[in-house]
Amino acid sequence: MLVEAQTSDMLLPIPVAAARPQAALAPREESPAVRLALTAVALAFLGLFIVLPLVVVFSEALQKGAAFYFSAFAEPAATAAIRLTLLTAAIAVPVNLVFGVTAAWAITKFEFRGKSFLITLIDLPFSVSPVISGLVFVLLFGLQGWLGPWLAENDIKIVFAVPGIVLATIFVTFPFVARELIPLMQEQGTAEEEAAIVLGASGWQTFWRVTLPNIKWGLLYGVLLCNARAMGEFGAVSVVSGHIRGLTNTMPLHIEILYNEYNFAAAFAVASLLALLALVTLVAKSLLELRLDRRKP
Amino acid sequence: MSIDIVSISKRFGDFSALKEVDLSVRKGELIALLGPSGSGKTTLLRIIAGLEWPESGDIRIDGESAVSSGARERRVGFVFQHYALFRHMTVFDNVAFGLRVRPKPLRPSAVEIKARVDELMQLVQIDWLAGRYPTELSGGQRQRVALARALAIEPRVLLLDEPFGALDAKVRKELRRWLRQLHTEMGMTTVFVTHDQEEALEVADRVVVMSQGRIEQIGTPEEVYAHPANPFVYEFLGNVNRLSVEVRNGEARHAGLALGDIEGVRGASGEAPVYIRPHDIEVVPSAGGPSTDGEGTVRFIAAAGPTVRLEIETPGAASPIEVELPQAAYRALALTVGSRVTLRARRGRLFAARAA
Repeated sequence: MLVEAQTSDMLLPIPVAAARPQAALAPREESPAVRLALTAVALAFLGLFIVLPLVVVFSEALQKGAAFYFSAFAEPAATAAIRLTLLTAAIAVPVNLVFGVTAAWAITKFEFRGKSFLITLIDLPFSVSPVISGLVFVLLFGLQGWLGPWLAENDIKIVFAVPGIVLATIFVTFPFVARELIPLMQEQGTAEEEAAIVLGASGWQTFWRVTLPNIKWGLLYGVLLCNARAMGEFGAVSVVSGHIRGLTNTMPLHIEILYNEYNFAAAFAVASLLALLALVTLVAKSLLELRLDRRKP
Repeated sequence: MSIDIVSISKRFGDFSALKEVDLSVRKGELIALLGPSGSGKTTLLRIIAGLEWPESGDIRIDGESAVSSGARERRVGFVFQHYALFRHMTVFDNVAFGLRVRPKPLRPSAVEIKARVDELMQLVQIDWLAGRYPTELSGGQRQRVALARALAIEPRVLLLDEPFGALDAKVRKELRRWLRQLHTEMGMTTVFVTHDQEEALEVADRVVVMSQGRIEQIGTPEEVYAHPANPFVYEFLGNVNRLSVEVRNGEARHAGLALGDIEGVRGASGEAPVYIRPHDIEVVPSAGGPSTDGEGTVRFIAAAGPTVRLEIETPGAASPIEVELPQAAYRALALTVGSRVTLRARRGRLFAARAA
């Protein structure tokens, strides 16, 4: 290749760059005015829709001073909501981590019938409105639902209780890990796994020593997004929660209640915590992306 | 170790990749599976390795049926087409992998593994790359790492899928020689897949020519080149002229050129194709005068390289006849484009049209 390039250079004694008139632009360059305008529009949008709301959240939260800000978290209902949110995420994220890896593994490393149907199914929670996602569980496990009478008989509470919230969250955050891994694993193919098996590795060894190290950054990224959504989910959780203060309210639901009670400062205080989580997620995601880019050959 | 492939068939959906293939590889042999893409050669290799399951048939490694054991148990060394090196591991860890995943009782100690890996890396001349990652290596280096990794498990047979396919011409040639030498030193039964006939003929002890899921011919490079079993092998191995001739009274005639010793004429009659290698055609300058049997016009000359390639238009053939001459003979003839020449085929092979 290199040799070819050199010979063709020798055949073309006029350097290409010099042949170009000086005022002309490279095909991909825009004039300064256009560049400035495009940048300005992008920045204005960013400011209006992202930065400004964030600023509002934090300024409203701190409106009554730092003491009030922290007291908003000390309130028992708020602590309960934070605890419930953490609990929900602590269950939903690992469940979806295991599911996502399994599904991505099955889809990308094996050929089977109904594969594309499975991929579509994984996407379902993304395409369905969260309210419907919540409603499905009410219809399934609610008192009037399919399994309701049996559950009531056995004294198991799912809807309007913690299990329902966890289920709805799992459903909504279902696609994140799998969606992140499928293209990555598809691109990597199965050759390395085959090599490992020919070299005598068991399925388990192949997974831990070859597959997992190859997908770990993508996996972490998927988990991060999954976690952010699990903590922030409102619609589906709102339907199944029943809004029992101190018992079935997650942070987003608690914020809504505070807001509806005109307790703006407290509402924004809790909201700022969620916003902070989003920011941390973003930073972690950017760091991961940096890492991913550097590893690309 | 010997490999016996007995009546192996394999389908992928509606596509029949292998049709009752039989093949015996002797102990210590270096075999090339040669064929165009889609001929089933890689499938056959993967079946030997246990990466693919045949629908029917048996594989015996050293007389022992291996068809029911998976790739993991077969202990074969496999070098993948694009090497399939573990991208997150260093060269050392790649080579050590096969030893480290052994079950505890069979696993060598860390010291033994280190010694073995060092030895292998020296063998394939990559010991100075131990700490590098696969992305930091050239194609030829990756190839050597893949080979060292495959050899680490002390395989019973070595299988290579298009071992030189992804390399540039110069490295390819060097590695080819090196593989041949390595094989001579270790004496391991080796099967490699290639679509490059030159590679197969140069490296292998025996060549297996495949097409459309069947074996067309098995033989030494000399045999398959000099005595192709059928038109496919003739056309696939090297350049060949295909002429339609008329056979009458046990003699083949062609308007374009005089035919010498043509194999397979006996028993044939009527129209039949004859295959003649370009270097089996003799060129004599025409004496002038009225055109005679076998006379043609030189239309093209490629004079660079050890042999000179001529394309000669004859009245009897639809496409120009290709002729290869040694440089010295070419110079003695003093040919130019437009020269009138008389052609004589020294030898060729007639294949009676296959009975439908």
